[in-house]
Amino acid sequence: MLVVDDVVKDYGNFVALDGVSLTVEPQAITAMFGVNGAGKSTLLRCCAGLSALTSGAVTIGGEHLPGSIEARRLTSYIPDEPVLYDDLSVIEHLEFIARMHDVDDWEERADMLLERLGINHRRDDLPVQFSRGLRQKTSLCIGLIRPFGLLMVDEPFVGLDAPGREALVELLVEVASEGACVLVSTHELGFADVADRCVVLGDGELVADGALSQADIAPFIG
Amino acid sequence: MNAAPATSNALEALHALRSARRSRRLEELHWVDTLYRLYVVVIVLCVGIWWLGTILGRSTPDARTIARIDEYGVTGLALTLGVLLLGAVRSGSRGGPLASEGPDVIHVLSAPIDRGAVLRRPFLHVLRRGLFVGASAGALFGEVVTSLLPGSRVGWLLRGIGLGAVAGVVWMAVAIGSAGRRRTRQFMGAAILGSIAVVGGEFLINRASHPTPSHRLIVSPLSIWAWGLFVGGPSKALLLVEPLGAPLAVGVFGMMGMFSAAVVVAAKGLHTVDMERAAYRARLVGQLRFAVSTQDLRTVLLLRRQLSSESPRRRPWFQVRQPKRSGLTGAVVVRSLRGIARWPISRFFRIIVLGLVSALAAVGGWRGGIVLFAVVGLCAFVAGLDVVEGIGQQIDHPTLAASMPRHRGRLMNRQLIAPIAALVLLGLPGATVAAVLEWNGGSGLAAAGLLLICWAAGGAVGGGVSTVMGPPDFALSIQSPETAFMLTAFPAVLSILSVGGPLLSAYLAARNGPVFPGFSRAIPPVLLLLYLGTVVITGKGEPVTRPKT
Repeated sequence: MLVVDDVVKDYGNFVALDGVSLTVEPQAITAMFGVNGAGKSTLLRCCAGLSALTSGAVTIGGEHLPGSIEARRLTSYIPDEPVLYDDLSVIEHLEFIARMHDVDDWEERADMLLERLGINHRRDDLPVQFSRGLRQKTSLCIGLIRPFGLLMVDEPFVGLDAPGREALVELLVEVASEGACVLVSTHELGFADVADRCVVLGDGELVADGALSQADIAPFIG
Repeated sequence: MNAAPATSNALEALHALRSARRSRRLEELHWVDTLYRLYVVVIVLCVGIWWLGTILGRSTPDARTIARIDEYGVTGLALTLGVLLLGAVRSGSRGGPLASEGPDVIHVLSAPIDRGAVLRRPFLHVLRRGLFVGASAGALFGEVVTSLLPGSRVGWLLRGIGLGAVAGVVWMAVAIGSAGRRRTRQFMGAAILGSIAVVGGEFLINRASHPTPSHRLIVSPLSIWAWGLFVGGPSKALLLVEPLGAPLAVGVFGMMGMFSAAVVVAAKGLHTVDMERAAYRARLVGQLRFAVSTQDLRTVLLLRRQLSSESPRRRPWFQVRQPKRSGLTGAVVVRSLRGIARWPISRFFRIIVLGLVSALAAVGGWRGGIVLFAVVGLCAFVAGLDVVEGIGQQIDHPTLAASMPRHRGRLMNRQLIAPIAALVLLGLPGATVAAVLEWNGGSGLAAAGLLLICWAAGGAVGGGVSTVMGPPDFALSIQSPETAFMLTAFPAVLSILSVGGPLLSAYLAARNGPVFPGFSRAIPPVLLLLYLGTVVITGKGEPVTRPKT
């Protein structure tokens, strides 16, 4: 479970998050919407321990603070921009990340992920030569190859083709049903129909929360 | 899906990955190319040191010179070390020299492994870099000292290398240590500031209380450590015996203590890495390395500013109003002045420091080490790169300038007016120091003034030419980096000739008469050089396009 309690994050003159409180439950997909600059990515980075909070608290799995070893073990964060090594192939990336998390049966899982996301034929290629969409798929595979209790994905649909989107949605539903907390930041209104719960951020504040429909969310995001 | 526990196997995986990547890099290495580059570097270094030694020559110092070195040497060396270490704390406060790769930050530092263990090897690499850079700088320092003091050249070189290597490692360790917890940074900053205060205070007390200062009466750790090791030399340092006795022993143990403490504190604090800053730096450092490899000075400058969090001020220092009838030149000058009005304080400070360094180099050159005249020109060039922001913006955003019904090259030349004025103003403290130390007669003052104008114009034009020329062709920088380097160095040479030329001319003329005529004789060639620079700017600013036939 992810608990965000009155979190404030400011960058000097600019307040990115202004007292956000939120609880993300396991076995459910929570979709986070908001216009550009609403604070979605900042919130995810704070929860992943990549940004320090100005005030407030975040706990993961009951008691672990973001950035602590336990929290890192529990959290899989997939950033909006794929971050990949220039000199490792797709499969080498997956092997490395899997071994970093002590996954023994990684090959089977890697095959499954590559197949479902449609990049199995490029498994031995370097992602540095890929298009944005293929890099995004590689990044998704990396985030999903390892064990986690909390999956946070920032703008996962950017650059994906239609089969890739479908595969990703199926995978997200599967990991949620297996017990993980899933928090997805997106501009894709259609994802509201898949999510169990939707939250909307505006100017760094939580402006809507619940089982919202696309029509409920649309006014907040223009 | 439940999270499984991660064991130390992850570290093994990390080490395996790193060795695999290293092997792959080695496989891709072109040995002939690498050996050729190594050969060129070694030749250039050896010839450089030999040349420096030839130019500086060997002098037999008189008793007065030795007394002055004895009086100022300790304080000077100690304060220099202190200021360098303060620079290390500043570097640490902005993330420090340890820069991880972007994927390492996201995938490795975010994995459930001890971050200290992950960063240990990069930490050792950074220390090794500090060792080499410090030792090289120390060798140059030793070479300069050889020309000033009696003693064997090899001995001074070894001492310089030893002191430089220790200072380099301590610098890196302090910078890395300061990059972690704020409390550690504050402690290190306070300790270094305290040492500087003790050294400076001791010097002032000695000056006030004794006709002949006796700096060894008060224990100022930093100075005695450095001086003990440097004067005593590594060979004597090992024996811990006379001739300096106690100060030498304190020096050796002090340096070793400082060395060990800095490294231990830095190593212990590795796990406290600030992830936000690490991710930010990883992105910028990757781009910076690429820009350096393509010799793109403008991009290097911009990325360095970002790394130092140096951004324009929201509120300008002063308001610049556009006169109603200002014309094109007035509009361009006002635009440049508005940019200058938003400079962060650090940029003003940096240019003033460059001016002061230029002044000291000019004085040093005047007193015999004429190679230092080149340093004056080089400082002017670096300052020039920093001030020609108007031209830089025009290059960075070409569509804006392209939309104006004006000749872009001429617009750029007008952008030089405000930067030259700014350099004259910010170079005034340096010119004052030069006038006080060397050129303090009527003719000397005029010469200092003329030198300041040459410094400002040579720096701004050199900086402007470098900015409009941009990086050398990418293919050229890969295939023939030496040729690309010559193109990159051309604007710097322009600045060096524009500033160093008059200085050298005056230096040669001063043997037979007053200084000023020597300076003024060099002005026509300098004006010609500057004109050539503006021609390059005009041509590069508005490339000639001919219709295809």
